[in-house]
Amino acid sequence: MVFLLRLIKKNLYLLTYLFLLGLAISQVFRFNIYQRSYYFNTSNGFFNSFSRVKTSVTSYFNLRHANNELVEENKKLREELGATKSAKTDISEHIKTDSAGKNLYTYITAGVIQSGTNMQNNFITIDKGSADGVTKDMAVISPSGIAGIVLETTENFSLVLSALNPQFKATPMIPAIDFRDGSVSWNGKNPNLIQLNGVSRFEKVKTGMQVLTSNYSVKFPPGIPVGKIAAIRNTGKSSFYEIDLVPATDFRRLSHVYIVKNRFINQTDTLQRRANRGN
Amino acid sequence: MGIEIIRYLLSAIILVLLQFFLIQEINFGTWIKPMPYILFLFTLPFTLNRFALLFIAFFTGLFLDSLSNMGGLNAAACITLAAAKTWTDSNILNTDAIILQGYKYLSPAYKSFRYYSTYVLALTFIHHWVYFTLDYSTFSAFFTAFIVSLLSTAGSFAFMLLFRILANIK
Repeated sequence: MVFLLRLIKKNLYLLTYLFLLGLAISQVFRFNIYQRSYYFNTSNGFFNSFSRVKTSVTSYFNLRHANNELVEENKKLREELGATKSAKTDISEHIKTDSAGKNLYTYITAGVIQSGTNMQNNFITIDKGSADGVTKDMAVISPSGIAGIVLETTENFSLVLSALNPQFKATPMIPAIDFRDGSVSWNGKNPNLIQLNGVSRFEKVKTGMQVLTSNYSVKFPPGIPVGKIAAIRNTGKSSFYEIDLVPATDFRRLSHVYIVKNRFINQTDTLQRRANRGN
Repeated sequence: MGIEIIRYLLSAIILVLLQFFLIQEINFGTWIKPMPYILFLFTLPFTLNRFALLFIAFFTGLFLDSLSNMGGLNAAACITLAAAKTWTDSNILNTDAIILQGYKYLSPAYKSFRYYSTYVLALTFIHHWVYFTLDYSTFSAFFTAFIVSLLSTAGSFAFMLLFRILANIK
């Protein structure tokens, strides 16, 4: 016992260091890949208030950008509205009877408190939480494209897994060549480029083509912009292209987002689970 | 003594807030992510107890971590820096001689600028390397983490010099 105490006393500095290091690293890996979400829950309003101060200043610099973005979105929505209205005169009877014609998605608007792009694992903090009906796994979109997926919620805040996080995945489609396959994720290198994987070398992809979310996606509504193809590389090693996209969303200047609520997600989930059990 | 502590506390808070509000907001590209707030740890006196240094480093890092939702990344990097600094101070530097010449901590005025920069660059690199290795947290990105820490060290050092100059003007 005395020997043990002497040993501890002799190595007290090393032990203190290891203890503190363990404490710090356990915080980092607490939730394995979703490192920061634990911390998000425990950190109280005090620290979020710092972020709020920061946004209240930086958001002024982004007003012009945010405004342009909203005007663009409005224009797009008006065009779409016009298109559906004219189409509706022909098939209105069919739409009425179609259950899918019901509003599948409802939206919650939220302000962005913090949006990281400098880290390897980036997160977005938004100012709506469980009190506003936000729950885990909801899709988050910006006025110009996809933004992320809700990871954790507290009463008044939510932590969003940004599309600039290697853990993020989305199912894309390229309408120009009618391609619906592969996945979109970020390789963690350049925050100005995200990667599109799983496009076969036989597909006729070209730079500049628009990539949207696919209708196979459960969380994201179909047709939300993901990005534009910036570079296509043929490595020769595999039968797939390596494709870089310029993300549609400017994560650095994100100020407002929509949280997408899929009203029938419980039903689709149940069906998926049943199908999996059947296999 | 009391005033001294308040001064150190203020400089820590100012540097961490500068890091959070300003430096982290600037995009230096993919490879450079400077963290000059650790300048605070370099300005702590040699006479400080090594355990005190360890805990001060831990809480400085944790403060920044809690501001920007980063788990314990900065805390882990900062205590490693503190341990490395303690080791360097007792094994490589002749702290007694430096204190006798009237310096509380190593400054460029002692010996040469090269001497100072080697000390700061080496310790900054250790901090950044721990930080980015944990941040990337995969061995496949080992080399990337290494390069990023190397380049960020240069960036941090430039900012530290700038901060030193600004603080002296006051």
